[in-house]
Amino acid sequence: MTRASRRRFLGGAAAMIGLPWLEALCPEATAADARASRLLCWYVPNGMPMEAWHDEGVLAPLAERRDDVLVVRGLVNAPAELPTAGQHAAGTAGMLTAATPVRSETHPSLGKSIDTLFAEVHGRHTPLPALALGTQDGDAVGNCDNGFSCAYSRHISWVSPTTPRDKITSPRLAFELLFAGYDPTASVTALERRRSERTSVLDYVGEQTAALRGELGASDRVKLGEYLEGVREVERRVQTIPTCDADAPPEPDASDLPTRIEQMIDVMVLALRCDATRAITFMLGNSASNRSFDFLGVPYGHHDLSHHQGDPEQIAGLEVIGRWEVEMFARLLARLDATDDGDGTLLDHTLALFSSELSDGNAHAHDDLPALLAGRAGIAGGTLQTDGARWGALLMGILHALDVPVARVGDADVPLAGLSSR
Amino acid sequence: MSTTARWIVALGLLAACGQDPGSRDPTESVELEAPIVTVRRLNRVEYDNTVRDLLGTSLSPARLFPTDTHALGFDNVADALTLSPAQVALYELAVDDLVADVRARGWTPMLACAPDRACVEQSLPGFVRRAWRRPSTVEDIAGLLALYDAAGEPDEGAAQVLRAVLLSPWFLFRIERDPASAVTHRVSDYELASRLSYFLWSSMPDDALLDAAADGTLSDAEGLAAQVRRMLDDDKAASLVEHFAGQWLHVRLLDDIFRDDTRFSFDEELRASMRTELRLLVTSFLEEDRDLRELLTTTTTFADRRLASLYGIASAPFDGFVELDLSSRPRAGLLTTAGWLALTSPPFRTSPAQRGKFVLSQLLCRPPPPPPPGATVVEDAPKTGTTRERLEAHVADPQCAACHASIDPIGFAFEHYDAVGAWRDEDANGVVQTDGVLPTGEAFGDALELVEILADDPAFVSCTVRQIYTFARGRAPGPEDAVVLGDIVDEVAEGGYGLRSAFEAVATSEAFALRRREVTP
Repeated sequence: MTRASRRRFLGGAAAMIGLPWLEALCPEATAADARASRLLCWYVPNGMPMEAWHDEGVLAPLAERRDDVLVVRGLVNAPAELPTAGQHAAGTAGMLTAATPVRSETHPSLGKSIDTLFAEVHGRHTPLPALALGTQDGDAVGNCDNGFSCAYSRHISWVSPTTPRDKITSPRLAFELLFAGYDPTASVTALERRRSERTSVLDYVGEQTAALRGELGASDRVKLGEYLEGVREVERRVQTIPTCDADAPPEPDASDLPTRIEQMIDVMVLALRCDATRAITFMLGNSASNRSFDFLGVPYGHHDLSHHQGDPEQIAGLEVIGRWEVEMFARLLARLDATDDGDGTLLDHTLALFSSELSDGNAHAHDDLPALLAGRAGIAGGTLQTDGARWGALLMGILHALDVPVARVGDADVPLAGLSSR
Repeated sequence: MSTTARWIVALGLLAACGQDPGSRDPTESVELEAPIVTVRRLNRVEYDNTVRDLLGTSLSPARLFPTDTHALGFDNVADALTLSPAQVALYELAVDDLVADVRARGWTPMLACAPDRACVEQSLPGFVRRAWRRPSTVEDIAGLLALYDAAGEPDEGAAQVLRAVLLSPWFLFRIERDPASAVTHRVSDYELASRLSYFLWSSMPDDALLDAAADGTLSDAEGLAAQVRRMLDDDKAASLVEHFAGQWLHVRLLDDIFRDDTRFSFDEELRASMRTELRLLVTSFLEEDRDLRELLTTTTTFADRRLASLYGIASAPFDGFVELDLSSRPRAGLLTTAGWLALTSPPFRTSPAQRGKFVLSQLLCRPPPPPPPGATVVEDAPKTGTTRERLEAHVADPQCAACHASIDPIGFAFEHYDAVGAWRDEDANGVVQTDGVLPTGEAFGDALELVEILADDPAFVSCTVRQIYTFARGRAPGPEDAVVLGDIVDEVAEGGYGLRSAFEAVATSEAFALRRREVTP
């Protein structure tokens, strides 16, 4: 098969209308695992205007869906609290780990993130154990955050304590990654042949890598070990090509942010619907992003703005951005709820977390973090007031709600109570 | 924080701000030693350049790959180039496109003939040597031919072989092997060829370089120097401007900056002009081996009409870019180019601290330490006054003052240039003031005097060498490198401080070819 033929199969018409390319997809969800739980983590940079967070002004886009949303208040991510500069990096790295990042430009070390822990249990039979998506690649030069590896600023998902999960920022590439090897036009024989060819090449490369590793020193063995692990994972994927019908998203990727996010939401819904993965992380921007939101009438760098120094005009700008970020999240929830999934909708089987690296960006605060849980898998809507509970306990509570009974996440060894009922 | 604690912090910062890297006793005799360097994966630029040079393709599959994590200021640092399974899956996808592209061209340049078995068998050793950057072994060829045979059909067989070659760790990584006998040793000539080509070209060795590795030329000092000169003469050495200087001087940042168009006359055309000026300026130093200290002081630059008018030369009778004499204008060198002045500014104003930090970190290798906790919260900063007055009030706190005393005066010197590099006598709130005193006691009246002081500072030359060395080695210079860095600086100074000579000196240094076997404790 060629991916070009798949693009042709799609046709330009569907692409031009936008969403309908999805509608032909996945006519029947795959039977066995249709009701499996999904985890979705959604990160926004630079904290939140906390007053408007607390009076739910920025949560307005979720008003009609408030029953599906649990607002958790008063959480503290103490491991992200650094004695030095680097608070953005630490908060971002700590969002899904509740761990303290080691200060190093070249050797990041942290902890596995909860999507990885979730995928170790629920991701074994899907083509991709987990998928990391975003909208920003990263600054082109320089030091990211005061001597902390740029990896901390650009990733919330960590495959291992030292390796971030590569983040895809192109909707088209994300699609290609999810549906590699899938070709609705190919015959069974052709697909089988292609599968066998891919397997032979991967076998050859795997054996060569394994043999070569034996000749190298310890650090080199680690690097080639990562490669070998990736080769093995692709080999497994070759056997589990998604079986639902999928067409490629429009190309080229949109350049304006709202459309780009819509495209990413399409990819997320498609991935979950087709059971291509069950764990997705999404970074709406990178840590301390200084993106301008001129399309919202807020033409300032977001990070500059977050150091508002109490200025009402700047705080008003942050509220506009925060509400818009929540609105994007609300659109995702609406799409999930409009998508059939076995005995219910995708939202019935999803637990989604929305948060940021900080609460008040001006103070670089890691206490009273903004946290939303959404969906109907393992949680009940409402508001949960905690009195300085550990962020790690929330992460652990999320995993327990999804039947991943880990004994510890970051600094917590007891899950936060009250997520499913109060 | 108690007063005592504040003082301790301040003293600690003073010590950190005063450090001077790279000084050594010249009478000391030291055995050259090499730090361990981890196997390096091709980064995005190197991957695309390598498939271009290996396959003659115009595809750039790595363009959409996840960004490489940069560290130490560069995106080719071995330890920072991590790899998660998703990246491997993307390699597999990219290979499909590359195979289709080569197949459509009748398998050239992989095969010189139709893809029957005899042709493949005959072509493979040469192709594998180029792709894996070392001579092929009998086992390599047997393994690849087995894939060819299993496919059962010539074109499918050739496709399988190419997939395997491009997914091999020998292609994707720059692998160096250690002899059992020595701990610190010189790498093999083939390994040296790769070190040279990825340093000077951000790409694979060409046939001439591989031949020089095969026949022992690279083991000979004269032969090595001749190859390095040849490589610097090649068009591919333009990658040093794009990738070394693009990161060292932060030129890549120009892609991302935005300016408020109600305050500044800034658009895509000016952005492109800024990039071109910096590219041409660095290229002239590289190609003509100009004294690198003049990068900070030269009164000629390269400008189109747009830039010329920004520099105050209004009626320029030319099209495109020309070399422009700015000696009648208040401009000298890199630090007064529109591009540099823009890329060191936030969207709405100038940032003297950001400009000062750039000079200290990138040009003098004396990066200021991170600000103390809470330092970014400036509740009591005055809301009126010039940028300078407000910044001076804000750093009156002794916790901040220690480092800002070395950062800010440098930045203040450039206050006559706004956030797109245009001249101004006043900022939004008052008349700008550019005089200052460096921590060393050296005083200056304005930017033109400051750049002379910077160019005369030996730290600028040693820092430039250190930056080149970091990029060349893909790792942080360690204590083991102090001697060789000093020697390279001496060599560059004796040769008249040429920028091209600095690259030559690094590439031909003994240390560049050294490697240490990692001994597992």
